[in-house]
Amino acid sequence: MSIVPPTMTDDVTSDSMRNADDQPAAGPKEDLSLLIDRTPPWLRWPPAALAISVVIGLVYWLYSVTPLSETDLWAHVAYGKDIVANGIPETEPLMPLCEGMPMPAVDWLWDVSAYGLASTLGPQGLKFLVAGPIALTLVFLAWAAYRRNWSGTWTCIALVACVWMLHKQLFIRPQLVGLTLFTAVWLIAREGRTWRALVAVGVTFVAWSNLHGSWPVGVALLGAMTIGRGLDLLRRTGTLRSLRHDKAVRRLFVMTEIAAVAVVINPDGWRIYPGVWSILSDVNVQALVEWQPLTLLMKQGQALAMVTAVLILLYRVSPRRVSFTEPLLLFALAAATLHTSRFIVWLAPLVAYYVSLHGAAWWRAWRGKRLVVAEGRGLWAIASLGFVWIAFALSPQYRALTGAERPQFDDAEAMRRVVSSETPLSALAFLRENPPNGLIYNDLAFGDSLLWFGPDGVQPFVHSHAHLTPRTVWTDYFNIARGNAAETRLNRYGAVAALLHASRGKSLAKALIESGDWKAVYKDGQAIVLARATPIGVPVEPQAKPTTDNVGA
Amino acid sequence: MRTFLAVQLIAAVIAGVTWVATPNQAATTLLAAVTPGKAIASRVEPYRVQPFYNRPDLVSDEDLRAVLAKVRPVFPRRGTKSNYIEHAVRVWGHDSTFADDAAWSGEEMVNYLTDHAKFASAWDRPVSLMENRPNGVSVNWGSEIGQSVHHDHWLASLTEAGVPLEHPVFGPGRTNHTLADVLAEAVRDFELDEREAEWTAMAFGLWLPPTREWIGDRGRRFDFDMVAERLARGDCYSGVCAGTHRVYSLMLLVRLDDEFDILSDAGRATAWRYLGHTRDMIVDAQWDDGRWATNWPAGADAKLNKPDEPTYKQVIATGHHLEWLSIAPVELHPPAESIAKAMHWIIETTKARTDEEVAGHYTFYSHVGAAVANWRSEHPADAWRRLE
Repeated sequence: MSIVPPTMTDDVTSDSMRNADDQPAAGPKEDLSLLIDRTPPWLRWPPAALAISVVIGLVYWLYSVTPLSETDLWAHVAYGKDIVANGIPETEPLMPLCEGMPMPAVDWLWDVSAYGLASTLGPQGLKFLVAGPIALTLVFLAWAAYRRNWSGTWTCIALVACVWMLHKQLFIRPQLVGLTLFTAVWLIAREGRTWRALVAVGVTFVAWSNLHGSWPVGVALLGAMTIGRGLDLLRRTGTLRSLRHDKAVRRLFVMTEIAAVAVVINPDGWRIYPGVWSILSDVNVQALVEWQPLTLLMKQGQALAMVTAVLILLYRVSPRRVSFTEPLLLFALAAATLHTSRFIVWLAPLVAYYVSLHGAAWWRAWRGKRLVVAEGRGLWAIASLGFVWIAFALSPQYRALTGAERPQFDDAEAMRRVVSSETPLSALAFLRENPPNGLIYNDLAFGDSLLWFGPDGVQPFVHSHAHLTPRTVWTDYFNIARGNAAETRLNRYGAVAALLHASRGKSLAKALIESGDWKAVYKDGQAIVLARATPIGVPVEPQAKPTTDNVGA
Repeated sequence: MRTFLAVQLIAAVIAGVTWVATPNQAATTLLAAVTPGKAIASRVEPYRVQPFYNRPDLVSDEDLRAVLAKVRPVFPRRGTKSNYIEHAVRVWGHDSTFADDAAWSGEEMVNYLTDHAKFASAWDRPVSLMENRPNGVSVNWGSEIGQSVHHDHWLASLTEAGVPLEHPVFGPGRTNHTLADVLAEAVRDFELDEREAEWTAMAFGLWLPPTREWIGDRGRRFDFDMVAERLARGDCYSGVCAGTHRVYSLMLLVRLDDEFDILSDAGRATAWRYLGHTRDMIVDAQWDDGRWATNWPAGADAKLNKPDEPTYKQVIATGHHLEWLSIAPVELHPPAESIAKAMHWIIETTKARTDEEVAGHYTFYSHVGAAVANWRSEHPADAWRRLE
């Protein structure tokens, strides 16, 4: 696969979906006054590559300096640490109230990678897992778009539109890898013609099934592309026999098969299928915001609506033919997104791609111009790579890699610059110094950071992995948060401390303190820590105080 | 075509190898998701934990007869709550008989609870004690009329009554179910952290061992260690009947561990620690006349701050403590004098109650009946036959 313009390759006529208007005109006449470009053909890039690289480089740098959000990151890192120490668990290993809950091995590899980066490069190293996948996704998207529209402007529009639609989803979590691999699979399926493409699909899905549980979307993508291609053939030929003889249909069908089988190369084997289904259908998970339908009240919904409106207009005016695959993919993913907003992750790159495709074609037709593809030159490749390098060199990850600046997890001041302001670092430091001797009722948003930053053997009530939490515990968490028989429930669970959000947990904190059984032992602008005024239950052995070396190590 | 066929072959090999590599767990997990708890009971008759002691010095024949007379299952034939019958059958057993026609026999009590038609016909309003589920029969529980009051109390009571697993259970659909199907549904709907796990612990403990682990809903793995930790967790006041049922269930698990090794060392230590703590608390909390009040977990403070509560609540606390102590080893006993005082108080208090007063709080006094019989190492039905 290459981004070298078609005049430089033999592959001009292999794409049956291209319009005749897209045939490139002849290049400029040879200018003997220019230096001879001795770079290899694959390193001769068009000028558009620089613009694209600037966009990707800027996006990479932007996400590499953005603080690490207070999401499920820290639970994943904690799981990674546990996996390295004890192997891949079959049941939840860290949360006391989740004991025995089955834990599908859908993202164990991401967890181990995150822990590896955290333990070797510190918190800045983790940002490789956010800036990297985003940048790689944009590279794949740019590659796919430019090879079809030959327009640097419209390719850049696709990249910006994609980032805009996904801005609420682009934070550090295993799902980002799912986005990258989805785009990679789509690119391979569109462009790959040889056996190497089949191998690439297999390898991609083996990796995907061990990195994140979103691989069914990739399998469905390949299936939809197979069906779309088949429908196009049926429409053109009117015979089913044509399906059997068409190389593209066979290739896509085989890719789908490979994908469906490759994913079982996973510690769970064939259990990965019911494992992923168990997560998708989990009642606790359904209650999370990102599993709710997408609405126009959401910023991402508004972004998607605007870009979709542009796409609809472009479909009206575009001179390009529209294959069955396009509406099939767009409608299926749009329906999924309207049902569950999380699917915007896989819809957005396709919407952005088709905007660029039809936008470039319309623009060209409107201007009355034929496609003119600039000659590829090594100069542009070097400039593009140079810019990308600059963006990387200016990133904190580079400084972490070279050791120039590598903050550690127990350096509170440095951590404040690296993590989101939502992470209650000071309260967590307090808990490390004064470890509670039992269960801590925590705000849901703090559960994951408690696992990583909290004292050794910490016992949080809940964390973000809702599918690993028993139903009763999950509903009791919310009942307690709402003050619904909170004391009785906390007594039944034997909670000895509480880590509450400074504003969300204010009324609960007040109610508990007024009961006389709880007292505030720490408070700052982010969090409140409560402890029992008098012990309850049967006395247990007190926990040993940790050394500061233990933090996150 | 060659590539196509090669891919089919490679895919088949990978699929076969991975299937062979993880067959048992795949099958187990998938099967458990569909029919958790089915056929996991290890016996057809429930295990019975025998009391340790025969103490006629604490409970004379005369006192035994007097207390048992108070707790005979004499109930109206219509509109009797299932909770009363459950407590009665638990004490008297499934095969008890009485010369007095007004008293329900064990068979009548079991049929009342296990035959929806019989139960429903005894009420003037629609009631539903049971309902059919895809994988078993569920017993409705809650505060509504016609329901069992506590989760799995129905199952635990029939289990302690000695009802065999193959005893037919006729739900609303009159389908071919047995007690095994109720047990299967109990395993499926068991939530470790629900408000009351005491009776589920008892039922599972008397049916499952030597099986130590099982898979419940959503594929969650349970073992008796988790159950013991759950019972020992939290505030000692939490739990039905002033937190005393938890103590009885924990003691039961320890006895079952003696027989079947169902707890790990850590799990047994957790249960033992809780029982030892309970012993220490009741030593300090006991009133001078031998009773315990519902604030017994407060230890010495319980005596200093005696709650203003009706006597039947102290019957609850005292009766339940005597019951678990009857199956506990001596190391977990308060001083002998403490037990003697408590026994004296409970017997005299029960004897002094009218039949109507006992009937109004039958469930609490039934535990007194069980306790006094246990301290004579005699089943209440056998004792009644001997002493009637």
